[in-house]
Amino acid sequence: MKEKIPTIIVVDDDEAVRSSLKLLLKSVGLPVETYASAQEFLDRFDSDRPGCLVLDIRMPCMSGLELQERLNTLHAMIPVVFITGHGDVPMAVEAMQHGAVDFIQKPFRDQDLLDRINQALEKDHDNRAGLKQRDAIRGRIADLTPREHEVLELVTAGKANKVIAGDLNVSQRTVEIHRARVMEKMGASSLAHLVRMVIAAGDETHP
Amino acid sequence: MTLGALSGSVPCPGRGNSSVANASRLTVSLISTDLRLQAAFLRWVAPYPVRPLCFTSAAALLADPQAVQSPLLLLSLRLPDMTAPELMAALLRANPNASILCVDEEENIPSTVKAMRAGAMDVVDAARAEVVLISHLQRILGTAAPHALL
Repeated sequence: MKEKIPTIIVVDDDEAVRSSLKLLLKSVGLPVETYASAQEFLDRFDSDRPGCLVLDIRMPCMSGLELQERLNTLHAMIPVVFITGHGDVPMAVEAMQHGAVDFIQKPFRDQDLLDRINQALEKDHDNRAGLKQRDAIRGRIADLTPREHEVLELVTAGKANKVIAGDLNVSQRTVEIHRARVMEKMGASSLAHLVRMVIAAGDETHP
Repeated sequence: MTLGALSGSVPCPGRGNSSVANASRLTVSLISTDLRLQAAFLRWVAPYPVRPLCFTSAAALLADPQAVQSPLLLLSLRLPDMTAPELMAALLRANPNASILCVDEEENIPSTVKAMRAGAMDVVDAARAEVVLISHLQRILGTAAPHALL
């Protein structure tokens, strides 16, 4: 499947800021979209598209911090770089506590913003790779039979084959066969690898 | 006079230094060269069953194993011998569960952002420090194992 190209989304009510950022980002070959309000952005937001958000704090109707809160409610993982001409410490703290990648004050040097944007794009890439890997693991877990699933849970809980055999009231040999199948289906090279996979899959391991 | 001689921990006045019980109390540490903040910190935590320690340098704090293991630390963003993010990195390596609060007296947004990125739970000015510190302290005391409070 063709990978989507990351887009930098600028949300700022100041037309001059939007234009200058668009020019700057285009000059370094980064695809960019601009929006004059948080609502305009939300109306077109697609969480499947990779990229990052360059967001003004102070905007009419919905502020940048309110938009960040809305995105968090939607579990949107798009990294946010805040830009502001009227920021203060409590605002910066709130933005960072809610997961902003950075919070920079206007006027800023072009290179500083580009560095922050590149960090945000890296973060987005890592987040999406992690999510993809988690989904793949969850898919493999979903393909296990109910008995294999039981064995997976007990093996990753650190129980020995003999104990698992007792718990499931089957022979040790049967446990060994199920365990080998689980390892194969999960693509795990070792028990430690299997445990890491189950941890990465999170709560969805229990169908 | 060397920096080392200037630095060091200040035991909480009135709680004594020889008490064995003190040694097992939860430690709450402050790192700041601001003497007014040190005095205020000792006053704020005095009603709680904790062992407060004050340091005037990052090096002095890092040399004290009990301070490093403090579940709650309050530190000034401006330190004489290390940046706050450097100190936080060292602290969180040794004590990943530490709650670190920073005090910023200069309304410095870049330093605040760096501190938050380094793992601070909050950055407050001196006026809000008491409320935020006590709120975190009460949360920690509420979840601490009873033997740690003896």
